[in-house]
Amino acid sequence: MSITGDNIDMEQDIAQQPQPPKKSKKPKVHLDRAFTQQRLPAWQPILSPPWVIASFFIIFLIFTPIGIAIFFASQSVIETNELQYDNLCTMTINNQTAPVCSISKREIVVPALMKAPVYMYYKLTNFYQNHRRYAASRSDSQLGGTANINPSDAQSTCAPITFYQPTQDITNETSSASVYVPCGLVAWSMFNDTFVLYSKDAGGNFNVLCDGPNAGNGNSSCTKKGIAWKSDVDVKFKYGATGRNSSGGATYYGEPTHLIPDVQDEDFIVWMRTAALPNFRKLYRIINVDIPAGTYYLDIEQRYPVSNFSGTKSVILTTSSWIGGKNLFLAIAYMAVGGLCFLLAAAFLVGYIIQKIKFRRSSNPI
Amino acid sequence: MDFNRALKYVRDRLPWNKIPEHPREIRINDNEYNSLKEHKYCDNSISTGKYNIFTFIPQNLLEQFTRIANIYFLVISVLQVATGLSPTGRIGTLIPLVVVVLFQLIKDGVEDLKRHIADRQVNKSKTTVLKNNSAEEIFWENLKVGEIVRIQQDQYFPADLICLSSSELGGLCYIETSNLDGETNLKIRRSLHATSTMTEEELYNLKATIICQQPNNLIYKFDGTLAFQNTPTNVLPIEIEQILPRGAVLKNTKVIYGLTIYTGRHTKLMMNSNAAVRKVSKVERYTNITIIVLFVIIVFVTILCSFGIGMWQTFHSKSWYLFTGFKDSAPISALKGLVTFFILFSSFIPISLFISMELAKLFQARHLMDQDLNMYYEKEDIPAVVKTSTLNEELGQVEHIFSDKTGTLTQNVMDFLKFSINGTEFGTGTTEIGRAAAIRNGSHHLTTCHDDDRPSEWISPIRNSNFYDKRIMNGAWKHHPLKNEINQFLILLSICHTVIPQHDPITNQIKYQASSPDENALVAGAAQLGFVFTKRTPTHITIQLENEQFLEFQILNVIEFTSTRKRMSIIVKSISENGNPSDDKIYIMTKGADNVMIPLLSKSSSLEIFDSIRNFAQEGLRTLVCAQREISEIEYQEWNSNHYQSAISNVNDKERCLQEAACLIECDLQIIGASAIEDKLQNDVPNVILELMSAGIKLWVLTGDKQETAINIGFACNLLNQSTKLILLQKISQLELNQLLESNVNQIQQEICQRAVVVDGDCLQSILEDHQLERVFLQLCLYCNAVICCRVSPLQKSLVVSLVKKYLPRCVTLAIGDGANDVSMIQSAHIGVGISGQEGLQASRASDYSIAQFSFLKPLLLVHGRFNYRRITKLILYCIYKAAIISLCQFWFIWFNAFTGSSIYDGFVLIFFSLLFTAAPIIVYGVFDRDVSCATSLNVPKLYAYGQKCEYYNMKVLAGWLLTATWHSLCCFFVPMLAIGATTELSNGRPADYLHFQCMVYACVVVVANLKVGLESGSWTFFHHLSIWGSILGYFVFVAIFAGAYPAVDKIIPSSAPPLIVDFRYQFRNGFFEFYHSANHWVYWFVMLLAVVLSLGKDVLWKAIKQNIRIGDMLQQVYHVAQYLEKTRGPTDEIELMNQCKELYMCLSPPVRKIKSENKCACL
Repeated sequence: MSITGDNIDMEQDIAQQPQPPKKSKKPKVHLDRAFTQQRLPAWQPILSPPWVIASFFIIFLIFTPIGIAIFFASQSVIETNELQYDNLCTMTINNQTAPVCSISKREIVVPALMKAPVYMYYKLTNFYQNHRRYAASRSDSQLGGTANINPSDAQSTCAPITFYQPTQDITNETSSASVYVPCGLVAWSMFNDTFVLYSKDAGGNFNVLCDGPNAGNGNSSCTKKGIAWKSDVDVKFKYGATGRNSSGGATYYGEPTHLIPDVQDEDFIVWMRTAALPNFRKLYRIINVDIPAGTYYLDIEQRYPVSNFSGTKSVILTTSSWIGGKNLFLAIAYMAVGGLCFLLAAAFLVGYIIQKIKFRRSSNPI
Repeated sequence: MDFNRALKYVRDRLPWNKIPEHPREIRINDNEYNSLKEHKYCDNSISTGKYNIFTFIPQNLLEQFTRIANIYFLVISVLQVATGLSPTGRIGTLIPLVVVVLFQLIKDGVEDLKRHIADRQVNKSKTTVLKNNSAEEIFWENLKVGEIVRIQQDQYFPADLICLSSSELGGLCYIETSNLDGETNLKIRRSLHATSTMTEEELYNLKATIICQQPNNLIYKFDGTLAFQNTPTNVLPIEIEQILPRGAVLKNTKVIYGLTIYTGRHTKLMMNSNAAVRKVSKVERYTNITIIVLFVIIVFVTILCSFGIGMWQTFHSKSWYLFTGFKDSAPISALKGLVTFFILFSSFIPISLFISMELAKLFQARHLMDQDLNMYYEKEDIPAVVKTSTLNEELGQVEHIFSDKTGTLTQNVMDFLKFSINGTEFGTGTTEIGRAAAIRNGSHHLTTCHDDDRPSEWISPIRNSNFYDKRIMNGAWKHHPLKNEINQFLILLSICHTVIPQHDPITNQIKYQASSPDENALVAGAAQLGFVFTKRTPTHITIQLENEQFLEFQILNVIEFTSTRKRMSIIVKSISENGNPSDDKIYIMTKGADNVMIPLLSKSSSLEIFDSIRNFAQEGLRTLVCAQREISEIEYQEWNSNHYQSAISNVNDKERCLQEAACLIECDLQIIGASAIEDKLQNDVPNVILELMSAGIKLWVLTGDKQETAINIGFACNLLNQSTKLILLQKISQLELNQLLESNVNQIQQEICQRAVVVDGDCLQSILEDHQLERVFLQLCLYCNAVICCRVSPLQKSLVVSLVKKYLPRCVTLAIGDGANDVSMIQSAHIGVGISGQEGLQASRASDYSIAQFSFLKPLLLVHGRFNYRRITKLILYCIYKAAIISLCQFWFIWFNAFTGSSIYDGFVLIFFSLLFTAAPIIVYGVFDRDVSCATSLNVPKLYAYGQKCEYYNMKVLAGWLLTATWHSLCCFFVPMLAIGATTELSNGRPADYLHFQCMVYACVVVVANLKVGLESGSWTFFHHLSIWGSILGYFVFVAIFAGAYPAVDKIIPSSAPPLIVDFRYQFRNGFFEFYHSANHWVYWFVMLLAVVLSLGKDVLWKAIKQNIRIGDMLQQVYHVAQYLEKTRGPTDEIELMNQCKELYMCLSPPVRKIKSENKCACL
């Protein structure tokens, strides 16, 4: 089509207009084509029969040996029966004097040679150390040795056992000097029964194997040092907090025989690591000699009441293995899962073969 | 709740912002008067941002805390910090809440900042103002109402202007309004006649008063008047033709002078930029219900546990180690327990759900959908654009598609193909639609058309014309018996329009700029036959004939096309070649739709032409009837001065007045001919429709065409086929209609065949007026494969969508269209898809997804929709699962801690669980996971049914996930408990205690939860591996590093710090420190291995059974076959699937929907 002369002016104007280069809106894909076009290479986990059979079989192959290994490890642990002793003598409960009763030379049977180290535990049942408010009633900063804790801060974490109260007027004594160190329910309720373990030689004499209260002293071959976690001893429990502490055998107000625990005492540190469940063991002493099979004897001094929460107290001796103490749960669980996987693999295999045969028959009719 | 709309509503109604009701009065060059406060003019700066610097934080927070989940977590945080009854520390909820809120705050802030920067750029652009006898450069934002600006070529208009004068002949100027309405063609604007010749100097001293409407959002309408100060009684009309709206660009014009009338947010552009209504997807609504269910569970469990603590207290009140201070009475303990447990179980509501979902959707939209080459239209350089990423998963659940025809199914590229004069048809060839119709009818009706004898290599010389007929081409018409009529017809075609010719200096050709593609085709058709429209001035139109001959006409009036008139007219005076004015003749030339033209024709007109029109319609051609009449000079003058002039000077109701005036002159017309324009189907439309139907989607075509055209298009695009039984509904009485519908419904239930309903606008109107009919009609439609509604108005389109939404509330509807008439339909459907094509951007602006071609619906729905539905639903379920597994472990622990609500995790590690250790894999899943490849997803449309049936997310599936969470939490809790719990010690003889137990359960939960994502994944890409293994490894590295770093942290934070910080320090220590103790022992790792295998083993077994044992759900079986085929042979398709499991495949059917009963409708 030709152009008439009239519009020449206009043409020139258009020609003079700068024409910006047009930018394409095409998605820029040269770099990440697979990404934006959803074509990233990928592995599709399709559970086809061979895959299922193989994976179950592999689990069987892994789990069964583990189960057997754990089983033997667990079997190698020698453990005495739990010796429940709270019912062996009756504690007289009296607020003014410590409730004490003693048990003398109670028999405990070691079934086989226990190689050192042998661990001695006490066990409590029905004691809820994981009770929310009980477990929270402690001051971690105080235990860590922080010097001047604001009394109200201490009270906010330690209530109801925070202040020494020589008078009935509580408001009177709320300075940091009257804060218990350690404060809180957990510290206040520390377990304080003591155990002494004897062996009996051929002559019928009792030899001290482990003197709980005086571990590490004299002829006692057990130690108290090392029963707590190293990190606890090194970092979490330090002297230094100001307040009413164990020095000079200080006691809790109104309980003349209830000594305030020593913050760096390992028995205390062990107690302060609260248990997860209401039935628990805590490490008492580590005996560093082998203990041959036979009958041994315990002197027990009971100070710790459990009857009012229907709890029990026991004492146990045991060795340990790479998997830990005696507990068949893991071993059985591993073997059961292994066995189950074997059965499943077999079931899928049978199903798969039947399907194949059916398919072959239907595709090759005779 | 749309906060911004509410804010705008309030702002516009404040007394100092309220626009007065009386018309706006502007005095030119009278700054003093114009700047009076009482006018309520606003300044010319615009702000499209949501916030300003002061309102940002409060307003954004307020917006965020209107979300119910955020309020919930805020309440929990307050309870935790304030009451001291929290089992999980004081900041266990506060920190994640702050992180989530901050994240959203930053995201919104960055988005808003971008808008502010763009606004600032605009506000600081410069423009030239004529002020105080000099031309001054000022910033846009300082422009005031009543000032005169000078705009040069290619500059944007800074405000809404009235064109006072222009450098071009006759005061014309050309503008491009693509920013405003998306139309890229040039539009003519005319300066006011009285001022059009004024020079710059004259304008400095111009004193006049303009009275116009207050600001409004009508782009195509403006009424106002101008009166010079010295002749106040001479009121001159101002129309839309004089308005230069902000956002438009001056083109092909050197310079114009314009008077500012509307500024800033009062401009038409800003008045139109209303934020779209926020649509909430079906899945999101369902998620809200789920959260309420979870909340009810929390309340129930909380009450149960509070009873527990009361009971325990009653029986264990004597435990001395709890001291007297704890001995609240049992009821009080229970009450306190309510708060404690409420806090403890708050982790059951997934705090990270919404943020994970939003992130995943954003990624899907920006990196996958916007970037998809399958949805990129190379030819016109248009990629797909996601406007609302919130609906991504809704795309996978569509059951009804409502489609416009023109520009959606067809290309909206009009080609002049045929015309008819007195029943004689010219032009050969036919359309796809015509061919489809011919096959159907045994080709008898094609006899009237001449066989297509065009040579195969023949290419039309002119764009938009595809006319071929040897009888009249290349001047041959001069020898045809109808040569006079043909001459008349072609002249009419080349004159009666509003097209602007543009000369391209490079190709030396004329390009036509038309507002409608039909006009373009008609002008092109006339040009091909030798009547080349070459020049338009405001007063004259010139046609070039062969032999360099010119025909010139004087334009007297143009009565433009409106959707109510459905016709346009032009009144011209022919200028005779001999130059003798007495020979000049005045004609009115009109073209319009046949049904509006019939009443206008003279009684003597032959109606033979309507047979041709029917034939054309059969071929799917768009027809226009052309007619004209010679008017005497006297009649014209009488009409022009008495009716027309008074109509155009009417300020308030010009359109109606003009319409009435037009009726007086558009009468007694002689029919000249009828044109037929082809609108080709878009690429691949028939295939796509077939596949969408195969995916169980019902297609509704809503078109303004005649019934025959609509049916033929239905055949051409595979919507209908030979075996389809057509049910035609036309205008009859309501009673009959009811009987007809009911008999059809009853009949249908007994027979099996494909059916389609064809309903016309009038009939639809009577159906929509009657509730009973509506229900029966919808019932009928549900039995049919397709529904075609012809002759429908834009309003009816949206009413039909609303009808389906009302009675089938579970169905997801999608509306797709390209024109302004589809906007209401697009907005009322659940998902609106706009085609960004020829008819401008209005539809795509109102839409949620904008694509360039109808065929892109297929990847949009079958690939992105299906994938995103699966991804998002699983993401939601996983987040719920994740929250459940961690909370259920707490629940089991309660039975062992005297119902006191001690937490099994430290408050601090709990924070990290959902924000850090398990956050990445599910987001990667939400973005990348695909169960089958894109190709398979595209080729096996039946897999789409998963979304329609809500197979991935319903109460049953939710219950399944919660049961899985229960099993996993049982494993993660009881395996450690039984292995190391109470009475077993570690290998160094120390018993495992509370801290070790916490540590172990937590590790098990982290590992299991991360691997669960892997188990749900349909494909492990590099990112899956990275995120899953990375998260697990990351957890161990993280705790190892932090445990090691603890002593340092201990020193950094002094014990004298506020209790909140000290709290933090010890929680930190306990949470991580014990890791070393535990990890040193074999038992820790064996416990974890057992817990993981035991929990996930159940899932693997369940999946293996479902995938390999072929029973139950057919869809699922087909799905597994498809997955298997893909794994073994690569991307699969329907044919391969049919080979594998034909019976199954054939039985698949879309979900059956029941129409909602009347009563329920009334309640809602």
